[in-house]
Amino acid sequence: MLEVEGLKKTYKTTKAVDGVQLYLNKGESVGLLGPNGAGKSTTISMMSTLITPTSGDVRYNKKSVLKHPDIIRPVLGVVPQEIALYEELTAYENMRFFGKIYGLSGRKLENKVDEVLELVGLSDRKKERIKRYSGGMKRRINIAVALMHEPEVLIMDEPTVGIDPQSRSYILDMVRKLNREKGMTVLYTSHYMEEVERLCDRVYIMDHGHIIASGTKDELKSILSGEETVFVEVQQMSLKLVEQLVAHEAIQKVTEVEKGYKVIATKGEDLLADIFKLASTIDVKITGIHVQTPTLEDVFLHLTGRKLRD
Amino acid sequence: MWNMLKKDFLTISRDRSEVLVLLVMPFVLIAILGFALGGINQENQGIAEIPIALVMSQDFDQELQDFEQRLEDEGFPREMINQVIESAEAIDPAIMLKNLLLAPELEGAIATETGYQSTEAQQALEDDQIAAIITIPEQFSYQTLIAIYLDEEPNASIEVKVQDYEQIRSDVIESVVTNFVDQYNFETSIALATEGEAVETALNNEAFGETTYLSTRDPVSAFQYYTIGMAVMFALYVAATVSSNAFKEKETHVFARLMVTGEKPIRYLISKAVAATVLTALQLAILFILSGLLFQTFANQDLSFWLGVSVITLSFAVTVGSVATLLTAIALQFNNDAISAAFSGGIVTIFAFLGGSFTPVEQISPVIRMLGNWTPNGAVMTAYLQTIQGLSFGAVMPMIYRVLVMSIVLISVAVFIFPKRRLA
Ligand SMILES: Nc1ncnc2c1ncn2[C@@H]1O[C@H](COP(=O)(O)OP(=O)(O)O)[C@@H](O)[C@H]1O
Ligand SMILES: [Mg+2]
Repeated sequence: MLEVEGLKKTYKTTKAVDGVQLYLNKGESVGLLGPNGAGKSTTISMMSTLITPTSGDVRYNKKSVLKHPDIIRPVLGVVPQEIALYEELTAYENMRFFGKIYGLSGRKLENKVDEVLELVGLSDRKKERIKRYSGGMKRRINIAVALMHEPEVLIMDEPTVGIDPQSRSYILDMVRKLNREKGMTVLYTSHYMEEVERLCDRVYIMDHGHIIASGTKDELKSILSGEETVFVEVQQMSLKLVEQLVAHEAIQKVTEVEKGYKVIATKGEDLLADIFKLASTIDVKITGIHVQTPTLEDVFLHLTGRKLRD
Repeated sequence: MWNMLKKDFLTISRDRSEVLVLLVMPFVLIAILGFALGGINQENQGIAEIPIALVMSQDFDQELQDFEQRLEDEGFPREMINQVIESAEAIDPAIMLKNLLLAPELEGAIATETGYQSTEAQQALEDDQIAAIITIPEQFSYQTLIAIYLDEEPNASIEVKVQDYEQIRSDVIESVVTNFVDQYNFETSIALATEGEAVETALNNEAFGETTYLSTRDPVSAFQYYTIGMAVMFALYVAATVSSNAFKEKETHVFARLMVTGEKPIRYLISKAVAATVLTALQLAILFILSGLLFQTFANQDLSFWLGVSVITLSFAVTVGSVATLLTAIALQFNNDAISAAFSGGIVTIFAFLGGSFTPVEQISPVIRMLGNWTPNGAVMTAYLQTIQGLSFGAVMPMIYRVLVMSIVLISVAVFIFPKRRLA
């Protein structure tokens, strides 16, 4: 339904987005995962016709959005990364204002405002000015405004940045509900892999302006199928142990974590036994050990050698 | 569009500091300046009444007949002569001067005696009974009329003879007469211009068409002066308020959000122009009405006065709207609100000074007045004051045209600067 083709955006010296390729099918929930500065917001701005790409195009039902920006605008609900609301106005006034911009009026407008307020759970606070709201409440109204015209596609740019866990959980549930119950197509941008893992069917992983991996969650994790992650808890940290571990032929990477080490290694039968043996030869006491199934975070780490939240 | 305007009104009216700047401050200043300067302007305290003699050597009726004869000799058609004679009576300088000197406003300052013959007056001056003689010579009316209508050099002038022992008194009398002459030239030129032909003429070689606020007929009170002065000055702040507000919309990304909805940039810009225009009109109306109610600033004014004031107010509001549009275009295009700050921090003050908001600048220098009349606030201030002085609507039209042309220029530049397509 919505396709992005070879999208590029260059600012003077920085290539913010460098040849992004992605698509959304109707009713899908798709994640766009990447660290800060990866180019996610820039990609979204181009998809929503806010900025013009240096090259490439966005197509909606095969039609160029670049040439006909008006075909996509009523279809899209965009939740910007920033709280884009009038702080001096109440939630109710903000929603009415944007509702009217989208051409709603009268009873229909009132009903929609009520319905969306109900959805974001702020019906009882609607007469308060935005500036008196908590961060989480602002985020919810920020989303509410994008829902006023019942968009077919909802694009959310890091909608949970900097808010309390309850609000975050509320928002995630809400987005899931919109996707599952209303059949809304969702593009969810985040640098929190847990969120994307919980919400999305398919995921694009982005870094330095490129899509570095894409597929369903399982497909992506199968990139790591030949590997396993082992946490080794020790009584005392030991450089010698690290040296020994790195020297092991199956082990690719050792990182220090709290109270121990995270070891990424090629799957093999004797790995755990080998680790115990190594430790005992240099008198390091292992207090715990467990094997973890890979996360998208691990996929990112594998692909880039960095953590998402560096 | 109403949706956009309502949003602007709500956001601005809920900002307490904006309300303070736009309504409370000018009102407080009107009160302070009005009370503080009211006494000085009106009561001439400290100067004893100056006795003067007005000697009128001419015979107006006779001279008018001579003038009529002259017009006939020149071969003008009859109806035209009748018309000229009719208006000539209204603009006879001798009668106007006499009325001025006997006007109640000068009571307490100048006591005019009109009963003297020339020689008696001379004697009285020598005897110190009077401080000055103002003589209107024979043929004065006749000479003035042919100067105005037939474009000949005037060769009769009002003579002011003062005792030279007391400088202040003679200064007062001379300034009254000079002001009269200036004003007379001005009003005469307007009277003629509005009848279809602008006749360039001069009385006693005074500069032609000079504006002065010290009208002979309806003097402007301190409250009137400062109500207008402060209102036009603070109206300029509306422009900066609106453009700052627009910049805030960009900064908080609501502007981007609006653009994503498909709202056209040009419509957004127009909404700013309209918002500033309506806000200015409201602000001025509130200030005028408050000042009128609390200080009786505009007591006993008739409908045509209010009509004139309304037209000037609306024209000025449109001009402020276009200033706001330009500031908005600049702030959004260059992604920097320094322009609004520079405008409200410096330009407004300079404009307000030039325009005469703080003091009647023509008393400092006519050049400043002339410059001031090229600022939007100065131009409308002149128009307002002329209306208060009772000048006809036609007389203030040039200033209104002037600000409307400024508006067109400002808006054109704004539209040119403002990005037509999408914006981040
Ligand atoms: N208007 C701009 N001018 C210059 N550089 C920009 C601009 N917008 C974004 N960038 C740069 O482009 C890169 C991608 O930014 P962004 O799309 O905001 O990343 P993300 O949303 O993934 O954090 C960053 O390096 C950023 O500094
Ligand atoms: Mg971003």
